[in-house]
Amino acid sequence: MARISHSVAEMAADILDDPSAKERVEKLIANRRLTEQLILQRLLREKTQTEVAKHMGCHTSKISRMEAGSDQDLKLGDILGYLSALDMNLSMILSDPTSPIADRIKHAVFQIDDQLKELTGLASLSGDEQITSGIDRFYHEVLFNFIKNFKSTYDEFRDRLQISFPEEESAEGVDEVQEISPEEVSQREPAGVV
Amino acid sequence: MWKINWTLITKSQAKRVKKKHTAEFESCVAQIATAQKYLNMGLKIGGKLKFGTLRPESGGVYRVGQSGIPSPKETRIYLYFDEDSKIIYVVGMGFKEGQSKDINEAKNLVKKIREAK
Repeated sequence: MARISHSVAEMAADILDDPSAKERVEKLIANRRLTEQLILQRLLREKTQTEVAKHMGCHTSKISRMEAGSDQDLKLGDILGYLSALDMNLSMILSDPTSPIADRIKHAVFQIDDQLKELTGLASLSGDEQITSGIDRFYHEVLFNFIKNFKSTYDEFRDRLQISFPEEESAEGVDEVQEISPEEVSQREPAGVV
Repeated sequence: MWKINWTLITKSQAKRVKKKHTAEFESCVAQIATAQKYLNMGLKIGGKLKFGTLRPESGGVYRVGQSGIPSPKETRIYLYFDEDSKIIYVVGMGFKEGQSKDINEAKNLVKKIREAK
């Protein structure tokens, strides 16, 4: 076996001379998704383990253990403390994978709505013209991206099922959804977009 | 994309670990995977790559240790990150009691890798 690879799990299997080690290591790696996110945020903010430990009122070795272990070993209080040291908050989504997908989509739409309302509140509070125009641009971007992604998914759905709608057969007068920029979206009447 | 190269690991080093400390070894490997992920994202080494039990020793050598294993054998894997070739070299493996000897050997290997360029 070539002793060079993109996969550290392959390395483990080779060194231990045990093919099952690959699967074990892959499982360990998969169980570190949240931990890796925490570390990444710390590194991006150029905070040291010592600084985080000081903020949390614990020894650096605790941070080291948190970052070296698996997600299952993380305690909620420690995650909150770690994030607080990075000036970050925790946002949780409790999802029920058994609930119908339509319900989950509706839930996501309501969540987006709530967050947009929060953004509007921020614009009113700040009174800063630069912030307000930034938020205004953001609204258009959200709408643009939503229409673009919605169209692409919907087209894929129709292609897969080979659905043809009556109005398509008499295509006259039916506008195709075209690629438009956020600026163009902003110039259109809201009622025409819905 | 960063690769990992374990050509420099000797049979005796591998034998010591695989005999009965596989869990410790695998715990170290999972952290190497994290480092590889960050490097693939474009994170520069420059002293920033310090997380979990991964930390720089001297002479370009990094070391990673086991974690989360009950009553563990303190295990170390020594690494060298070659930013030019985007290769993570495994330049040593061993246990805490032999770490000063292992670090010296790892540093010599890093020197040789650098000279061979």
